[in-house]
Amino acid sequence: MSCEAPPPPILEVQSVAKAYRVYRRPQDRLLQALLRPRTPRWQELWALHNVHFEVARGEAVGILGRNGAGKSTLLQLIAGTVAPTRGRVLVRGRIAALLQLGNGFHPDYSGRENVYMAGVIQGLSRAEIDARFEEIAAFADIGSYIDRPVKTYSTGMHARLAFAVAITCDPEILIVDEVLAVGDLLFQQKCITRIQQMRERGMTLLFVSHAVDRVAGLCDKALWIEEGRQRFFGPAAEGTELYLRSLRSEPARRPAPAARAAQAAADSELVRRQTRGVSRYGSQEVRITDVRVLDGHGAPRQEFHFLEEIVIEVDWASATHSERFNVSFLVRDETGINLTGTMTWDEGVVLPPVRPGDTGTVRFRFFNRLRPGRFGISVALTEIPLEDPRKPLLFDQIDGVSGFVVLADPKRPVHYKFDSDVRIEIP
Amino acid sequence: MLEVHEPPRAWPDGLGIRAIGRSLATNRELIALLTRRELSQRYRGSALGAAWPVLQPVLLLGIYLFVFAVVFGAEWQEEWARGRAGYALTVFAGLVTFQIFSESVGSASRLIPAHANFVKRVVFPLEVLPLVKVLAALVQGAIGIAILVVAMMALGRVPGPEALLLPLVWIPFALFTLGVVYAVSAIAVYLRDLDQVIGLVVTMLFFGSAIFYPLSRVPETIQPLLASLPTAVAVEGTRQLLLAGRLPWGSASMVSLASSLLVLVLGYACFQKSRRGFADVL
Repeated sequence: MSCEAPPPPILEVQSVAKAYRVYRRPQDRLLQALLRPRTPRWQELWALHNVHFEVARGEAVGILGRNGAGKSTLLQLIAGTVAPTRGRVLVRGRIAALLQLGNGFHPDYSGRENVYMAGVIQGLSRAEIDARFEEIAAFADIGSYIDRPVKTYSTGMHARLAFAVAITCDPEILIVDEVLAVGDLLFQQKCITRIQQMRERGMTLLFVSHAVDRVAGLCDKALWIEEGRQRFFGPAAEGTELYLRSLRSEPARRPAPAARAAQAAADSELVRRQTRGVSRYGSQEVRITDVRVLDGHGAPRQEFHFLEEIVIEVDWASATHSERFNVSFLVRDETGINLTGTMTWDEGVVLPPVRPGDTGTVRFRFFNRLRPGRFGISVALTEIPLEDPRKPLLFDQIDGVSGFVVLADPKRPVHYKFDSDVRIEIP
Repeated sequence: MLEVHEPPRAWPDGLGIRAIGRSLATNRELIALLTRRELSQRYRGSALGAAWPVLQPVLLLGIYLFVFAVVFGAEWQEEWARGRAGYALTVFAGLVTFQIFSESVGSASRLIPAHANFVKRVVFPLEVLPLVKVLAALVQGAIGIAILVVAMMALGRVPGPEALLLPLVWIPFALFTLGVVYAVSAIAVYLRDLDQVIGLVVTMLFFGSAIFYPLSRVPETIQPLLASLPTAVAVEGTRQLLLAGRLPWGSASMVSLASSLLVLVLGYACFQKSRRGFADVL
């Protein structure tokens, strides 16, 4: 009887935390390292807290988070350029890391010399690098610049060469940190195609990008880090959705009225950005063209106090007929719990029949009874079938399309998810 | 099944001689690549190119010869070093030897900052950088010795078979130098002042190592001190083997080898202990 254990994960990040020690003077660091005084000469700054996940061979994991969330620190820990303060990182394969720009190129060395250096560091012999050099140069496609010092390169050329070197070393794990953000679109496409080919051959990928749609498109799983803490690790679609929702709930820029008029025909920037993500569903026969969060007087607003009026305005544009058109919204909190929301149909508001070319707006007004925190808004357009009103046909739905923040009021705390207007009597 | 291992790290644990040996063995290719580059880079773009490694020491010798032999009238009493030609050969042998130290240590304080990308962006075996410096200096020293031998033969002197024992003097000296480069390059990352101090120390050793004058000209009280400077030991050893055709102090070279190894181990330990912090400082 064979009882073969499943293959161990190629990467294990076990309860890893990283603290940077901040010293007042550089020499304090030396004294600390050599003499180890009883009173430390530093202050701790935690860049990562207790990050814990596993990656199976061949998986692709997208790492999400705002600037400064700790993504780069995590990648450095995995690549081994930085030591974890707590926990450990186990790797069962050859890693190639593209950490930000540069990839450890020496600015004074020529591109060619840097290619050899990088190859040798990766454990290739001179002969092996000779054999691959033409391929690397062809992929980077920077012409005679290959023999000039790297410091004369544009960021695009730098990224081209770095990427070409990293993939030619045939890594089992490839770490890509924002490198694809630079360089022209054509090269980006080339890189993505190459990454996909390598993934088909079983390469594991760790991918950081601000382009959330790219994470959704390339990755199986998503890891979301916020302020050094692991907020989510799981399926990419779910992770990107949660992350996007948190972004949406951040106070956004106020759109100028003129710009809003111009957007009326087309989708708003907000909605267009969302389109590239995974969290838009439906037939698109009627489309959501904009969603705005306003206060009771119609002014755009992102922050609300207890009992203030919140207005959600939904613009739509139709390309079809709908007799029983319905617009709905939903408010979710940061943990993904659906808190409140409703639909025109349920509220007994009958919308006029929709014809192709029609546009319209629906405004939802409600008083905020939610506890302080961040909330995401999802909006959906549906048709309510006559035969079974409980099974609406979905035209368009965008999760986390917008959001708002409820501010804390020390004089009127809300302790639980929401306040339900409790009246107290003392008989 | 693959073994579980931690990722390659930029801060290997080993502190001792064995760790240095391991790193040397695994990074052979890299060391060769970097050393070649270090040497070819030095004179790249200059009109005279490959002539400089020969020209530079010869011109330097001319300067020192003028100042010390012509102006100050310095002279050696030993029969193998008499006369202008003897003085020139003696000074040159000292100069070539000392340059192994001064070339390596003089630039050590800027070594790590100059390779900041290797510290922060990749897992790079940083411990090879000081080694590459010393190896490049050794190659230059070997060129200097070749010039010296050619000059000797032009003057009708043929080095004896003792000359083949030169590695016995140079290897401990190179190990000592390497140890100093390790310590200086590591500490200088944290203490930028070291750059200034090192320049002075190298100059002090330069004048203290009896390169232009015989040790006998120095007040007797400090003679033993100067004679025991590692740089002076190497300078004197080189002269004895090449010019005098004598073996330098049998037991003393054992002592110098042992102390060189000690300096190397201490310097390497200092480098390894502080390298974890390099990325945070640079």
